[in-house]
Amino acid sequence: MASISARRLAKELREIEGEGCPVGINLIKADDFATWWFTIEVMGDSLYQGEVHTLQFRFDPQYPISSPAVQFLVTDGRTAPVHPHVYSNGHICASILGNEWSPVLSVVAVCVTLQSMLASCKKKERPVDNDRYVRNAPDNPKKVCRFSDY
Amino acid sequence: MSLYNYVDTPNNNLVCCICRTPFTDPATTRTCAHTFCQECILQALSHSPICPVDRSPLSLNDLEPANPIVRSLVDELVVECTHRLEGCEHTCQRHILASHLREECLYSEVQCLEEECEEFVKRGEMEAHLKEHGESSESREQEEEQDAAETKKYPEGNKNKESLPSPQERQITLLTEQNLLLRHRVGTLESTVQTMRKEMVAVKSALGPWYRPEGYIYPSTELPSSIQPYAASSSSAQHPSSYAWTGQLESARIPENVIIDGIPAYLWPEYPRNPTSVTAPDGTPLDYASFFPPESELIDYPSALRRPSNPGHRVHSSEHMQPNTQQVPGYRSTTIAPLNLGTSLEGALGGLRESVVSLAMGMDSLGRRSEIALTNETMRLGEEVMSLRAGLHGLRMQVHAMMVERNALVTGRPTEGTESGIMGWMPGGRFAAMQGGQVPPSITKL
Repeated sequence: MASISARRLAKELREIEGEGCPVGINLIKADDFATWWFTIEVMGDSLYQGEVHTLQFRFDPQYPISSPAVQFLVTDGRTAPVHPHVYSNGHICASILGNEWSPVLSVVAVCVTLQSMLASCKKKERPVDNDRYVRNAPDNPKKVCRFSDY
Repeated sequence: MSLYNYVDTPNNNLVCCICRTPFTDPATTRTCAHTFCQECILQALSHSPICPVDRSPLSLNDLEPANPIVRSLVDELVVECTHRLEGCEHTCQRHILASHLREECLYSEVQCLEEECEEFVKRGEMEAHLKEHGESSESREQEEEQDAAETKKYPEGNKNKESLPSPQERQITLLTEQNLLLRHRVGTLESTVQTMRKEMVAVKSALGPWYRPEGYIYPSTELPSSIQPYAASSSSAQHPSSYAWTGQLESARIPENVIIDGIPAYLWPEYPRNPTSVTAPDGTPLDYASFFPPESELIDYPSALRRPSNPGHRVHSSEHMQPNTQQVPGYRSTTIAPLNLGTSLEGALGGLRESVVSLAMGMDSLGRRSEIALTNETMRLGEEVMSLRAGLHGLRMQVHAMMVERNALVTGRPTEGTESGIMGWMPGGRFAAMQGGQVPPSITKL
């Protein structure tokens, strides 16, 4: 039933267009039901004040049963935010994108979660194994073995 | 999950959180009281056995049909006809829509009322279509018109069927659900079987020649009992230097009457133990008797050592070791049995271990032998050096004496030279000459 993802995404898109996104989150591109782009900005006093980053969502036919593949875009001069859970190639280590994903969550919910993840960061640093990970990273962040201690 | 257009925005409590539309055939969880569309929760469970809302463990058995009130609320939501875009403006409660489409909607397609015609025509166009038929045969025209008129009225008389779906329909939906469930399960089982098959293949290939199907009967032992696994492992826990000996004693079927150098043969560490399973490189079975010199000629090279078969080490893919010959008197070669595929894996491993043990012992004795040889050589050389030194010392003394004598004679009496002086050059008499003060014959005679 591949249309389950299409219907659900159509619903979400209609909601976004109807009710708008939360503050700091903006939909840039949603031409198809495969890839969506958002910009995300952390409001208020935080280490990332003023920084704008681009998030890419990739959906598979099993959405929302399966989680979307989310990463920061690092092409065309964009950079990934410096955060202990964000690798320099844009891959994100977050529980809700892995084994804690639930069909109840939505694209907007994920954006908000990532926003709060950035906002609650105490120190701007890359993950400990950043270089090793980036060297061996696959194209799809979902193909990485996730650890569940977040 | 079919697509409905709801006239009014449905209450949020009636919306399934997975598909974000009002429930279709809602099911509630017994454990945490969350409601979802039956289809949505089945799909979610096939992916991960947890409740999507609170991630508590959830299984298919924990689902039950939702509260009838919820069911009614959802069924009575007002929806538009699916043919809205084609022109049908009808709206009705959701559970009625099916019968509307089936019996009323002018835009849904039905088979032509003519018995022979199999075309699908929209109900609203049925009249025109039948007229076409009628134009072909006038005799049927009136009948068809009447039929068409009756059919037009037909849906009006069906309003009493706007109640709950018939038992058959309910059963059909139930069976469809069960079918879906079973399909899921079969799919899972199939993939499990696939995985297990792959694992089996991998395990089989890993075991290689040791893969034993159930009920495999081991062939009668091909190796002599010397290579069969025995209690070497237990004895090895004891004093290490003695285990090899006791092991040999137990396992080696060495003829007890073979005595080498006064010691029973089985106590020699390098006594080879595989009289039947080892072959020389040229294929002929080795004749072990020839390896052992007769009792009295321990120093002779065994005749087998002169075989040109194996000048040095050759290892065949770690399984078969050639007899190792060295030009050391009294050396007995250590032989390793070939890999025995007839016994079980443990048997083969035990055999390999034995070979390793015998190799280790061979190496120990080799070490000892070379040490002894080295010591002997050193001692001999030491003695030779000492004798050389003594000789040299003597020569030096002679020279010294001669020089002294000559000097004395040259400085004392430079012209005289007698035979007795010559005689005095003889080693025994030189001291006498010095003492006697005799004249050396000439300076050139040194």
